[in-house]
Amino acid sequence: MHDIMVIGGGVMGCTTALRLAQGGLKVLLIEREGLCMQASGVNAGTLSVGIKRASLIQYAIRGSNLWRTTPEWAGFDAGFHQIGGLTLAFNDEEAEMLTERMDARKANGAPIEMVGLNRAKEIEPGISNKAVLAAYCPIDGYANSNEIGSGFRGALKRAGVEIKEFTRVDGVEREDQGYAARTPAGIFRGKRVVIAGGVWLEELLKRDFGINIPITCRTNMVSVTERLPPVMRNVLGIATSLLTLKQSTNGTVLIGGGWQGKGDTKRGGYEIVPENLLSNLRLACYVIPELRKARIARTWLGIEGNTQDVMPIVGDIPGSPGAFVIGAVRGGFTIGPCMGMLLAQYILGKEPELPLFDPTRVIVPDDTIERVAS
Amino acid sequence: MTQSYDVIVLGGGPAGVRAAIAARRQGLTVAVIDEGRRPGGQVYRAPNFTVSAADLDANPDLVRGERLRADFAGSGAELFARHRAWFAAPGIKVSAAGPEGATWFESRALILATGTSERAIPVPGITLPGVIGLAAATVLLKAHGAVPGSPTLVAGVGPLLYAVATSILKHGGQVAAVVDLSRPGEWAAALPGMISRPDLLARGLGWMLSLKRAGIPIHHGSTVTAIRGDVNVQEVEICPVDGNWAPIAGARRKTIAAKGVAIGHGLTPASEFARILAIPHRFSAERGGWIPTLAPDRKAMDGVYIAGDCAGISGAAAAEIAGTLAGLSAARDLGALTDAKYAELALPVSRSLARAERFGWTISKLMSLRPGLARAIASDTVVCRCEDVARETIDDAAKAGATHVNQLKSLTRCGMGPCQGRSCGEAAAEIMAADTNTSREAVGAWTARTPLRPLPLDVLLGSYVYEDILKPPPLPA
Amino acid sequence: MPEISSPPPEAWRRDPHVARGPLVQILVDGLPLEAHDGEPLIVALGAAGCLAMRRSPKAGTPRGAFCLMGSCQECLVHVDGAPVEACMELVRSGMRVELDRLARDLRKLSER
Ligand SMILES: Cc1cc2nc3c(=O)[nH]c(=O)nc-3n(C[C@H](O)[C@H](O)[C@H](O)COP(=O)(O)OP(=O)(O)OC[C@H]3O[C@@H](n4cnc5c(N)ncnc54)[C@H](O)[C@@H]3O)c2cc1C
Ligand SMILES: Cc1cc2nc3c(=O)[nH]c(=O)nc-3n(C[C@H](O)[C@H](O)[C@H](O)COP(=O)(O)OP(=O)(O)OC[C@H]3O[C@@H](n4cnc5c(N)ncnc54)[C@H](O)[C@@H]3O)c2cc1C
Ligand code: FES
Repeated sequence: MHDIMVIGGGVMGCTTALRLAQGGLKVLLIEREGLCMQASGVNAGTLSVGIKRASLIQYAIRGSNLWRTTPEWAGFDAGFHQIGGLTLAFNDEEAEMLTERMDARKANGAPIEMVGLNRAKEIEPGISNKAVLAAYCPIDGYANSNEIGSGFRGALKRAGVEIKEFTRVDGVEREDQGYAARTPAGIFRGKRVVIAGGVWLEELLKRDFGINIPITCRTNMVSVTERLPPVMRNVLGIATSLLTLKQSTNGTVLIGGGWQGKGDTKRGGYEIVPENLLSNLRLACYVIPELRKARIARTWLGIEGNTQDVMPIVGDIPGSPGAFVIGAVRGGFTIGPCMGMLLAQYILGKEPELPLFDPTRVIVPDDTIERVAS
Repeated sequence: MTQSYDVIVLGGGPAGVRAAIAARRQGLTVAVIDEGRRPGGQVYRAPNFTVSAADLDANPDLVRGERLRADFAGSGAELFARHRAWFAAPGIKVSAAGPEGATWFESRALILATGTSERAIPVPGITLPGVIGLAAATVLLKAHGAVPGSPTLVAGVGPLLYAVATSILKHGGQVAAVVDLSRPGEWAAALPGMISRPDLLARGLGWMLSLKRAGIPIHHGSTVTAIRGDVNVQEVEICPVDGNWAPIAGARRKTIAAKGVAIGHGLTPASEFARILAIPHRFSAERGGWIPTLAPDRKAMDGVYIAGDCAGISGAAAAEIAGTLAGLSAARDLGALTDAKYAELALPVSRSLARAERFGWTISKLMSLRPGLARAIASDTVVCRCEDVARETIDDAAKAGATHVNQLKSLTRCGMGPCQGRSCGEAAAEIMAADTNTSREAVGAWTARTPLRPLPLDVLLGSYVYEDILKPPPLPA
Repeated sequence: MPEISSPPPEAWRRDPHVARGPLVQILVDGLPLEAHDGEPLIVALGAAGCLAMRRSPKAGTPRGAFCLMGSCQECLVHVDGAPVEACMELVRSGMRVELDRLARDLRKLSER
């Protein structure tokens, strides 16, 4: 019997499990695929504090710092690079939105400076002359999301976490001593349980805990160019947050921004929506005209989940003592390590550094659910 | 602008052309998209120069190719030449990038006939300029009328070895040697399967004979173990192999001087579009690797049909016939053919397909990859050309817990470069299977990603102003 | 025009019996090269003994055409500033071809 089981091995599950093990618990992590192969491994890797929701700024600053310091607390290098972030507005309407949003973020502690075109061009010489206003956030950067799965695998092993990959949890049941997780590889038991199932949270919470928290599935498209000579230095975005653009040290340029493809929780991201892809790419080339000379090497899709109020759920699962949930974090790659740390602090009986996000607020009554007998 | 057709065919090789003709004959509108300038595909690749009567006399493939092109020209199907398909979605939507930009298509049926990729298991020195693929050499020879470095060593497996060596001589080049993984006994064992096409069999024997006559050394049961040279190829080391194609330890190695190398270890289905369309695949070593699952009438999913070598290596003759069948099946499903008429037309086609497949599958089996070759790759040999990933890095990834090639990809960037793993996929998967002590089925296949081949943004995006860009509602503040 | 009089043995050779397009001039790293109109660029380069198009991005080893069908991306060059596969690109008069710097040095070597 483990002290605690973590179900789902994305950034939320991995960081929670690691912190719990470091706190002295005997932890079992169960993941349906390999570690961080879903959203946490296929995301664009942008660590932008400057474009996060105002109320999440403090979480983002901590998250980004944690990615910088993984060698210290996780023993691996996540490829963190702090390159600065520049968010642009191309017309008056966007400029107004940019000012308003950045003011709110600044108020919550984001180190943002509003700059005009000339200063913006000093910061990022390659940008289009058509920008009318920009916001500069020097602490923005990126990490290599595709490499963190192996990083966490090593870290978790070193911390003594037992890892079951390619093991799907088909049901979690409450027992006298705690919880039992049913899998094709047998039943695993833990005194407590953390549900970190990403976009599948709705289905897991409904099935195993009888609560209905609607999660919308967003299917993001990300594209990458082949290697290019240097065309840009910063993470670039636009006021509406519909663009993230950066060049990694290997020369490839990543283009994302949450443009939607087709996907669902059954099949994952399964189809590119060409109109959206074209607009995403056009926007990128509009911002950095030099990009037009590049070739796109790959476009891929990944799915993530949002609650109805587009805010995280991190805390107790109502009605199921010793069961916790973590996920649905917009910008969750940046914020993930912070959320994992906070939940672990809470579970270990400490006061979390920042408040958690009580799931109760987004529970929607659902008559079709039979209350799970406890 | 979007072009509408009843049927879109991806690939203008023998399979695609015959599919287009069959569908068009039933009154459907058909567009064929191909990267080449003219139809013909790989085997019947249209020469890039003027063909003389003597050329035609000497080369039955050229005759067949000209017939294929003539039939296509008379069919009324449209060709989008020099267009590279980069996008396909159910429903059916296709996009292809051509010299003048991207063209968008919609259709009621899609026929995939994209052929194959060449498999080349790396050896030290394979990345030296002047080393080309064996199938690649056929392109150089028959489409461009040019020969590789003089002399060229021709190595690998299958009948292309002899076709290429003969053709190099015919075009005035020199051949250092032919290094064939197969032993004479294996060729002899394949004879019964090849007897179904006596013409092709005779041609193959003719190649071998003419090489013997020209005094070209042929090393059977041997493989290349190193290609050496600093800037260009200087010499090639070869070694006898065991029945698994592993170089025999302690066997005497031989060094042959050469200025060019053509090397290839068989073909693998180019089924990337089928994978993008989420058509299930199964692994078949004998058909060249992962192959899409489809019904005998070539239907793979609603509105999508697959023909030719991209459905499993079966050879040119089978490709043509399978193409016809796919075209007929699409016509039936679109209501252009009654079931009765379909049955009448399709029956003889299916019969001759079975005959052609017997020949094709024999060759494909002869060429199917054996594990010894990839297992012998040295630890510092580069496997992934695009990202310079050596064998030892793959071994390390397996040691670190990677069990699937997609994990390998994210861990090491092996297969993540601009070729999307078409060059290294087979070798990497074999190494993973060996390292994890599992199978090719277990280590899986890399996810194919749009646009498959690098796509110039300039071509794709055209000219636009800021207001043209879609603006979904901004994300919440 | 510095047409290489006797190409090195590793150079590709055009079969002289094959009828080709008219000769035109292209520029390879600023140097003129004669090529046949409409033939694949790779043939023009290969026949001039220029087999290395570029170097690999990480290890920096010389690379040249391998697949000749637009798949492997090893023959990438820039034509008039745009990245193209030399095996798929067709020769036209006056096109400006740029090889990787390393490949450029190698070409100078092979011209000596
Ligand atoms: C394409 C894309 C781009 C993004 N770009 C960025 C970005 O640039 N910056 C940023 O900050 N954020 C970005 N995000 C958001 C970020 O990636 C996610 O918020 C974050 O990774 C979510 O982590 P997670 O652990 O909650 O979910 P996941 O990583 O999805 O992990 C959940 C895990 O649970 C497992 N699981 C589910 N059900 C079961 C079961 N029954 N049994 C066992 N295991 C199960 C899944 O297999 C999965 O591995 C992006 C997201 C996507 C999809
Ligand atoms: C380089 C090469 C040379 C070969 N030479 C010979 C030979 O000499 N003799 C022999 O018997 N067999 C040869 N083969 C084997 C060959 O696969 C079959 O013999 C036969 O050509 C298969 O016919 P097919 O119609 O299935 O495919 P192919 O003939 O390969 O035709 C596929 C066509 O699809 C096109 N295509 C693929 N993807 C796209 C895309 N995304 N957009 C647009 N067009 C696309 C290609 O340009 C090609 O014309 C060769 C294979 C290769 C790869
Ligand atoms: S030689 Fe492979 S892409 Fe040109």
